[in-house]
Amino acid sequence: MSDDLSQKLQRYLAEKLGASDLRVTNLSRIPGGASRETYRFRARYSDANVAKDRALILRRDPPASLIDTDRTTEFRAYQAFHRLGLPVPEPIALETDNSPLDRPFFIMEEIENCSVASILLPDPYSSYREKVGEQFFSILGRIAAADPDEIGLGDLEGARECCWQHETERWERVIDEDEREPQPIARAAIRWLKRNPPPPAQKISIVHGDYRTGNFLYDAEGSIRAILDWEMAHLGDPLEDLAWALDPLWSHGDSSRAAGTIAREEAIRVWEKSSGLRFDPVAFHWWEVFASLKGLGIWISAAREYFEGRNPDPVNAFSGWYCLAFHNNVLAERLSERVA
Amino acid sequence: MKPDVDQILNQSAGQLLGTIAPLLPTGYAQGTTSLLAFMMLMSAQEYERALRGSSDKG
Repeated sequence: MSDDLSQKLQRYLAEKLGASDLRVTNLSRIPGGASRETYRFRARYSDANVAKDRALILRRDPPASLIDTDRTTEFRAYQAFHRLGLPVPEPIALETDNSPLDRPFFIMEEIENCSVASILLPDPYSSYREKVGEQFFSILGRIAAADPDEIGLGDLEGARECCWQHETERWERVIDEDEREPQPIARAAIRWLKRNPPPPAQKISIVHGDYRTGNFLYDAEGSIRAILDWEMAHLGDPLEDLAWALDPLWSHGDSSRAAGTIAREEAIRVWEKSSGLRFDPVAFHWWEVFASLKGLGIWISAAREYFEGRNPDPVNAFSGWYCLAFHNNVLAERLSERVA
Repeated sequence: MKPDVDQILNQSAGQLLGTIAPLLPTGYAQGTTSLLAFMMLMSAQEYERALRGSSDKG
């Protein structure tokens, strides 16, 4: 790992925490998606004559990103939900200036001794499937139940009226800007979504934006310790997150199991109980189609970043190949069911 | 005799997934190596498909 990055980080944190003896050690890169470079490290320092040894995470903007996301949004979401008692890492510092580490970044607590499931694994949660699934959908319900204004996130990007339209147009713009070849299934989906708007949202909530298997940490007993990757958080219909979490891409190959955990019906029941909201199948069908379209938008952007050499991380190639093909198939099937 | 391209890709991916990746420290190196191996398997399938397509035409 770059000594240069380690030294710059040490200088920054020593000043930020007012600890001139602070030492950064064991800096190493870990998987964390293509939208941020993610590193773990230890910071050792004394605070009021007490020796501290903290495991921390650095999330730095990459030279180019899968999609343009806002690290300030992510940091604020961690702050808000950490205060609320949800399992998220404690945020430590946010830096939007390029000078300390060449690109903007933030630092948060590392949740140690935990796992993240790869979407390629057929049964990552194994004997903890039930336990993980119940927690996963219960936490999603708590996010949906939170009042954005009360937790200080009422000014996040998004729309309080016609959020379905706002989100459709957002992802249509992404596809307009980043497609390298015609995307007929995405275009058909956009037409269908605009012609068949869903019922109004029951409630405007904080939408995590990428709530799925692979974006949370769980320990050896199957307890979820941290919900990660809040960079696409926005205001919107909580069914957006539910549909994304239940998308077949995240089912570990068994679409009857929500996120590779519990049965879909059970997941929805847990979500309803925790959120206090009602599951509306008509609205949900719309958000299911939207979820696959949003997926296409993300994967098309990833393919573009990789093709143009702005971000050679192989996760971009994988997204632009496997995930794009997967969601094109899902979306074609969903559209044919709804048009028939 | 030169090995077939799809055979090289398939067997190299198998080596990476089964032998190399487990030796790497868990984290970015192991995850990325596994992902690269998975894409080698996909590339082998694409190669076979292209080969079948060209032989069907020929």
